[in-house]
Amino acid sequence: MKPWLPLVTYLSLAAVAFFMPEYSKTIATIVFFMALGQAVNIFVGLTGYVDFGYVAFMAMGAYGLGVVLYYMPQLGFAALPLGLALGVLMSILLAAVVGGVALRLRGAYFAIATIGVNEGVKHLIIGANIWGGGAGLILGSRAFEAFGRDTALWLANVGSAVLVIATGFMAVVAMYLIQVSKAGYALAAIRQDEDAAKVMGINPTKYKLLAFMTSASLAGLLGAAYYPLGNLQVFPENVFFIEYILDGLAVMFIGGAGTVTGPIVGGALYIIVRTVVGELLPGYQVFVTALVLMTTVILLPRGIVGTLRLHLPPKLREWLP
Amino acid sequence: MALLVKNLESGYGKLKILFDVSLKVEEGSIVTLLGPNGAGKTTTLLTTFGVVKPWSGSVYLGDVDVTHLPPHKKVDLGIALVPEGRRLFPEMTVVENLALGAYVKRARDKVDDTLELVYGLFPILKERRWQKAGTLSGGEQQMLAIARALMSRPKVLLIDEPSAGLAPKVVESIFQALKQLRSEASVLLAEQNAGVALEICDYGYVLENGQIVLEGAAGDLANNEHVKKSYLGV
Repeated sequence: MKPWLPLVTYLSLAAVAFFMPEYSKTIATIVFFMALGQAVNIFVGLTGYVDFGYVAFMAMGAYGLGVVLYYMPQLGFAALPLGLALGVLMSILLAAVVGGVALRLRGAYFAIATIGVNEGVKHLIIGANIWGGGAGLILGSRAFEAFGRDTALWLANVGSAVLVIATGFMAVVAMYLIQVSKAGYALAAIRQDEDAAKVMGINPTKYKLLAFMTSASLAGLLGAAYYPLGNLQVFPENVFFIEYILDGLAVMFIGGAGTVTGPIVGGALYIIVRTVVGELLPGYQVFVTALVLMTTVILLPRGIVGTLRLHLPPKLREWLP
Repeated sequence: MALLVKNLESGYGKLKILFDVSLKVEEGSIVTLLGPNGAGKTTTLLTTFGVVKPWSGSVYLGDVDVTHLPPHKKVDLGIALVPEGRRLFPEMTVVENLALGAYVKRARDKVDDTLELVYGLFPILKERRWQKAGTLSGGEQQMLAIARALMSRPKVLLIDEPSAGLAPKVVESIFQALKQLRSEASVLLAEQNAGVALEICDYGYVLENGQIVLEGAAGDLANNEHVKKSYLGV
């Protein structure tokens, strides 16, 4: 497997976002869906499990950076790496807790067990009135205090876009590292027959948890890049917006579950469809999402890249992971 | 002693399946576990292997108590299972299935040697090595399942009903291959087909309603009245 095509794609997008700040926001919006599909793919694509509480990981990332910026703006620039680290850490911890318990269940049972996680964490924050509670965290003035006005605005615009792209980039690297290592073999076996994998001496829970935590940490980074950094606010209603997991699944399935390039293709196509529908039939975007998802799963179960790979000679297939 | 099972009891939920099952497999021997449908043959193998948790009793591999180890640790220590129904990875090629069999580190270092060994045992697998496992015939699939288990370099191989659904001629050739295994691993074989099993094994146990009701050397069992009547149909 040669990961250069997706890596170069993300690098070029980052370059455009960096050198042409006027396009940063647009690029960030597009790449957000690619990176989301990419992160979802590491768990869903590699294990064959679906997590309906997935958006909670993005929320953890958003709150990590949000909380540090809101309560400790006096840290200055250190608030950024510290907040990102805290966000990723909280995502991983949540994944460890949810996964440690629920990943012992099989397929559909796991999906059902995770449904409540997203709403549960959201209502914990609102109900206990922690981290701004239902009113959320408004970070504009705090970011100005921490980074200075101009830098804060640059970070919200260009910085956030670059970080969203970097998340996609890191997801490709993670996917590559997993697939060339023995974890890739173990996950392939688990996906096809979990009991048989066990008989081979594979510990399924360990590898499912590995994929789950990796995926969650990337989702957390994405949440941090998009809400507190990009929008300078963290509202529970936004960061726990359950539809994002449907978006992530749609992007992944359109592109091709388990493929590395798939989410880039899927994300681009998905944005185009949604934009066109938004222009022609405003308000019907979510309806169309469901429609697109069903059509893909039925007509093109391997997704665009997955199907394309089937018809490529092995040499070229290497280049379209 | 390669494998020792002592007073094993287990079951599913509240339902007890195994009652005080004890058996042993000597080094380099083939031991068969006979019994009708529902007697607990598969449960004995699964409990020994750790897929089903033992309620009481113990399992020793050599001198090591492995009773409560999960399956993946048991594979590491040298027990392998050929599950009922073969459970191959149908979308993977023969070679990929074999490579996964050598998943544990101990076996991975010797993967080339072991491949030679299993290809020697089942030459047809070498011919078919680039074919997807799902496209093999039933007999070839059973051979692959056994070969895949051997890839982990087990000291003890547990095999569950290798003759199920196969033509007598194919069963014969698989059992002839099992006979050659003696030098590589000790075998505990669960079978309904008593005729072929008693031909190749050294020792046998008869399991009925979750209890061992009879045991003995293969020749003695073949001449036993109860075995003759119930299992050999003479």
